[in-house]
Amino acid sequence: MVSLRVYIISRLLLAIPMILILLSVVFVVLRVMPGDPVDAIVGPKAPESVKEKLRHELGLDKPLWEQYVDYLSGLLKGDMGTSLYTHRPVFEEIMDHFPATLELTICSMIVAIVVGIFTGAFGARRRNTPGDVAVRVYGIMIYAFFIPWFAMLLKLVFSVYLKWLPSGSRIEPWATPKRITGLYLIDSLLTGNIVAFVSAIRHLILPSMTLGLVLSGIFTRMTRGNLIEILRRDFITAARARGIPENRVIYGHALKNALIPIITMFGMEFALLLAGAVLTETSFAWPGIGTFLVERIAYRDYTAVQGVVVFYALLVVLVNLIVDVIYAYIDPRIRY
Amino acid sequence: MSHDNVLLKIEGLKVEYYTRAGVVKAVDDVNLLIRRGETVGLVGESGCGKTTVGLSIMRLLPPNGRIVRGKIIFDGENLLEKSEEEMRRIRGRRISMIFQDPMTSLNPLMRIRDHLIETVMTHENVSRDEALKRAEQIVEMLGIEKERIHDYPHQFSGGMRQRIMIALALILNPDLVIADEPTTALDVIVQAQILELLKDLKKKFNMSMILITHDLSIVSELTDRVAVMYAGKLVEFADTIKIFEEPFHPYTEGLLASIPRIDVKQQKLQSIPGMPPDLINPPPGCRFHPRCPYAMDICKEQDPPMVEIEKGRFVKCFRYGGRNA
Repeated sequence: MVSLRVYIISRLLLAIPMILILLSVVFVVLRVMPGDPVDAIVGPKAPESVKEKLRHELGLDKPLWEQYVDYLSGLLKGDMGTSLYTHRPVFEEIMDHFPATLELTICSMIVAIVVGIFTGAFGARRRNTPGDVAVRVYGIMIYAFFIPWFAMLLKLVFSVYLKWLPSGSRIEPWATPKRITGLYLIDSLLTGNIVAFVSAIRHLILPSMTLGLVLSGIFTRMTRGNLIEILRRDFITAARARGIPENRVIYGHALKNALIPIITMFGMEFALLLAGAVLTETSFAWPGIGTFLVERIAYRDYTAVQGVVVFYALLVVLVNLIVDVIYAYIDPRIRY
Repeated sequence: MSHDNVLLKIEGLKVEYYTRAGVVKAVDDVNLLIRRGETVGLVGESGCGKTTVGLSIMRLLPPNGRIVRGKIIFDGENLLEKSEEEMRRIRGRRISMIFQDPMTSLNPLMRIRDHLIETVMTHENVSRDEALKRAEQIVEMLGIEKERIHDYPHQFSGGMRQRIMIALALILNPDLVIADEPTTALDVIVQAQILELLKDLKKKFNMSMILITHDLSIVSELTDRVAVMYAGKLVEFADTIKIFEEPFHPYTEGLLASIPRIDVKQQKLQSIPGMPPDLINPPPGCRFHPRCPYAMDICKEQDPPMVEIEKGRFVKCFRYGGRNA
């Protein structure tokens, strides 16, 4: 277990240069991009003196390298700075929006994994039958769907025509539960607020279907491919030769082995999940980090955008690390 | 031989594989008889269909393989007429199999303990504790410390893993064990240990065994009778001692001659000239005739029938009759 600790620490240290490079690129790109935070705040027609004053207050009149050094030294002390637009601490603002994103991404991941594994296993068991071909087509097609378009399609069917589900936002405003974790599903259960729970679920279904189904394509293809490969292994024939029931052979012996590479992929998919969440959130007016990010890009809120990038980068590193640890736990052959 | 003494009878078994290149006639008209408590060796070159015979008995052929014809009568009942569920209850409990490669035949994510417990609990209505006790017993009998039962497959050597595979095959005390090249993947010293163990266990458990191998030295040590296969057909079937004393079929003769001997000075390793035939388009007549030193004209045209030339001694060759059949 000592070596596991060393492994985790070294992975975290390796993440530092990566985040630094990422941050530098974002820092420069934001400032090279046309548009000006001062214009965005007071409007382009405001008198030049007002703009100058604001620019000075925000520290935007300093040379670029000084702004860069200021920001980095703040970050080292754990300070993500204050938003140019709202003057609130960026970290606080991110934390306000993060639970919404977390709730959406977790539900989407569940959809993606459940649908992916189910369809993949279905195809693998019926290899080269029409059912399998359908699974293969699904795996490729769904992954190519453009999220805003798919979101619109689902909204059109389930909100507009069928009127079953709401087309946006996280919850009915009057049903919002008391904030404990910020995750509505958990908060409403903790406070015993069933009305809020039902409302939160109804609002979650379409966004997590959109994101989850699009991401499920990769899991479908991975599960199918791995399972076919594993089902050819000797230990599967050996298990059948011991009279183990077929369902147990597939879902107990084979699937667990097939899932190992899928777990690794989950780590890599996580970045894609966050990116997909941005599109999903904006499509469903979901008040998460994605919506926050798009809004602040429009305002040229440099510190907020930088903050989100750092936050996401850290999150991806962390999740990949957790996945590696889980991997070692599932596969007894792997030791760090 | 009294009829109730027969455990397994294979009649006219014909198995084909459907591949892109064509239909492979892997096993063609094989008849075999195994009595209770005896060990029968199934011998032949790679690809002659011996493993296919084993898998046919288990009804575990790969998806592209099909039993076209024949009967496999086990304890009076035709296995080929059983439903998949009935067959599943026979596998592991009444007929079990030991595979060639112990390195890949265990689930890498499961502890040895769980392999054994799962097998017992699949077939018998016992508690987990009871199953664990039985697992510990069998593992100790096979020379593995019972504490190691909690380890994973990758923590064992090849020989130890084969012991575990044997434990898995024997834990439910089956009537018949099909051992498919059980020592091929092991080094020589370990091979000898495993063979010794099999010999011992055969006595202890009083089971029948089909030993599939290409190694004649194993056959001579372990089997009561030998069936020699060539290109999907059975060519000779007799008591082990008799076959080693005097092989009748030219192929058996060639096989025996190709065993290197240390007591006779030889210039060169003996081998049978030519290659085993392509089973998509097997040669007409006797499938061995292109390689046979005694081939006659009739061999190229007609497939010789299996002839019983002595009691319990069958040969499929025109040199021993059957010419007018």
